[in-house]
Amino acid sequence: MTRRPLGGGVTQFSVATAGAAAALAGEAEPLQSRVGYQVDPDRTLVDEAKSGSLDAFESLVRRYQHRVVNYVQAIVRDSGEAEDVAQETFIRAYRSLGRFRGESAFKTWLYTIATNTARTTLERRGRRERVADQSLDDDARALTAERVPSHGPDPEATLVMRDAIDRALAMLPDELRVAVVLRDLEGLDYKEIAEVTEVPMGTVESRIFRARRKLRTLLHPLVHTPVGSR
Amino acid sequence: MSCDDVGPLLLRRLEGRLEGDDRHRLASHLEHCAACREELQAQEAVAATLSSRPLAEVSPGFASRVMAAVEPAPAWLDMLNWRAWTFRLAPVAAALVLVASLGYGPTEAAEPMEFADLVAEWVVDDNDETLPAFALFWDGDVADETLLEAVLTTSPNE
Repeated sequence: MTRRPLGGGVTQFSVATAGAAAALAGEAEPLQSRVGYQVDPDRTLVDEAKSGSLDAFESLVRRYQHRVVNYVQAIVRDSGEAEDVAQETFIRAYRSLGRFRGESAFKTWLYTIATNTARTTLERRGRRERVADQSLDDDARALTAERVPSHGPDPEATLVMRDAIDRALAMLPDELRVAVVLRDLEGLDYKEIAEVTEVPMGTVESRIFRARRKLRTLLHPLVHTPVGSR
Repeated sequence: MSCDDVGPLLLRRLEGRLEGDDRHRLASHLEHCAACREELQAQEAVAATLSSRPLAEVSPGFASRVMAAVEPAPAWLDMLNWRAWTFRLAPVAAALVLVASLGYGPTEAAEPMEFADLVAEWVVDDNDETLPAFALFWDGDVADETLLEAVLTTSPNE
């Protein structure tokens, strides 16, 4: 499944595009306000969940399970562990609901919990996986035009592509990886990323810029631009 | 503007957030700097590659497992939780109180009787003021002579 292309006007409304993709996956994405100020689309469910409604919380889980699992997998890189970390994220969110005051959107708050939970997992793991000398050329050859069909998904190609990207992401320092994953995989805007990672927007921009520069080399078999000397 | 200052502006241009003087300054710099033009293209290409990453699979039942973990089933140790049992049995207690208040409970127990009186109650004739002879056997206070006389004088048909 392809994600939305980069384009102008990255705002809260851009999430609606990702929401359309999620809707195809069977999740309901609520309509958002098109007026200037941003309304949290999860507010009703969150209020009901805070009042004790398990059904409301389950609705929130179903709404965000794909995003959280997808995000966590890109951070911890272990698909087997990703669901455990995602589950832990939702459990922590449930237990902390009473402390959620709505100063940020629920989505942003959930990503914050997911980020902290993933970081804890990485620290517990003790080391970052080293893929230093392992080239991505094998993955690139697996994804040449001759093998990737022009119509319909190729499951093998899908797995190879995702694994290749995740291996490249694993080479980044944690703070760069988190920033670029939140932006380019999860579609959060810079303001939301600044809230999740609790750093200024200027720092977010710097991290994303540096992350993409490193990935340019790491992903060069997959990225269709020439690698310069800079 | 030097190449070191360009980074944030390139990002904002990719996002469509570059306006006014910054826009002009960047455009002017890119006209003369091939390296920064290449960097702009590379930033855009990497972002597009990352955004095309296939979504991770979520196993069936994930949401159900989360909810089971959030609200676990009661363990056997909960049997020792008297507070929980008090709460659970409160409706039963309330029902019993209601039934008792409507008078469906057991009646007052009868006073215990001496066996001799019980026998007399079974067999005594309403008009007969004397105890039948065999009832005297269970009366511990009856003298032997009295008992003998009762047996000798009582008709078999009584």
